Amino acid sequence: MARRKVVDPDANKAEADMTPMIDVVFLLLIFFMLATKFKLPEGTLRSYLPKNKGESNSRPMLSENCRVTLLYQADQVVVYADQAQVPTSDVLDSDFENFTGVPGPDLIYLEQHILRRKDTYVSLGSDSSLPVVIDFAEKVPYKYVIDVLNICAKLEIENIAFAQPETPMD
Amino acid sequence: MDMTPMIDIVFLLIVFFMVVTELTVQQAVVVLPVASEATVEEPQPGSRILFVNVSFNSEGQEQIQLMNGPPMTPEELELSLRLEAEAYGGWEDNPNNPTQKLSTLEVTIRCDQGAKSGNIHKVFAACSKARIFKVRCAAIGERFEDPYKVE
Repeated sequence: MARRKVVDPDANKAEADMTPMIDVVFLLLIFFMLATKFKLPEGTLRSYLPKNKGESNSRPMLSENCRVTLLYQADQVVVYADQAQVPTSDVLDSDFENFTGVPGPDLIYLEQHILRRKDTYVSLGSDSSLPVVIDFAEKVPYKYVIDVLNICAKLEIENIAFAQPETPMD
Repeated sequence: MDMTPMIDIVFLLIVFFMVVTELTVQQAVVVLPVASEATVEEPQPGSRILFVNVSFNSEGQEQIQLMNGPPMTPEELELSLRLEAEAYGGWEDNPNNPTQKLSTLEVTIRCDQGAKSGNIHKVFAACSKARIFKVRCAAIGERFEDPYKVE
């Protein structure tokens, strides 16, 4: 008498071992997690160029303005607010100054000066708000120009002009 | 135990981190200045923003780049900006000069805080000559770690 053969349904089923793949996938995940450096969101300060001079980037002389002059003397930034020299700050108050070891100007003094000028400004002609002219020497670190722009933005001054460099650029 | 959902999630995480990692290397390494009043503005639909990077190269020399392109002189930058403005094609009337059109292309200057400010004069001049007036200076609102820290 013939016996019926019992067939195991799972006998021919191939199964892949997932463990090595999962190991590699986790390694990849850890690598990318460590390699990723999230960027802080970048903002901007508006510094639109004047439209009125066409191809030239100069601006007409303003009758009354607050002139902030940034000079670079003996590896230090010297700032003049109109004719008054802005005192040097007592502390290194930014990562850049900590890096260079050279203190910058007292920005609070500068802010108060511009605020005083803004409050006492009497509108002349078409300029409804105090025009601020930022005149910086070529070697002044860019940080200090942004500091002045930031103060203007804080005081809601929109009439800002950059003075032309006095010496011809190379 | 069914491992499929876990593997799905792990793959998704890998893809996410791969994409984010790629994004962070697209711009030149620039230590931006800190400005508390810097605003993050969403770009207008259809507008185009070009980035001009002023950074230090591996030898510590300052260089000007348009996006992630090669270092260029102010004259080359002006020419590139002109071509970009023409390719973009957005123009508006100059209220002060009826015969001239101004480009509506926007330029954001990403300048290293330690770079010489004279570079900004050069970039401003190049933008002005290319009839681009919508210029912004990039800055970050606050910084949590010292960018000069030696690891």
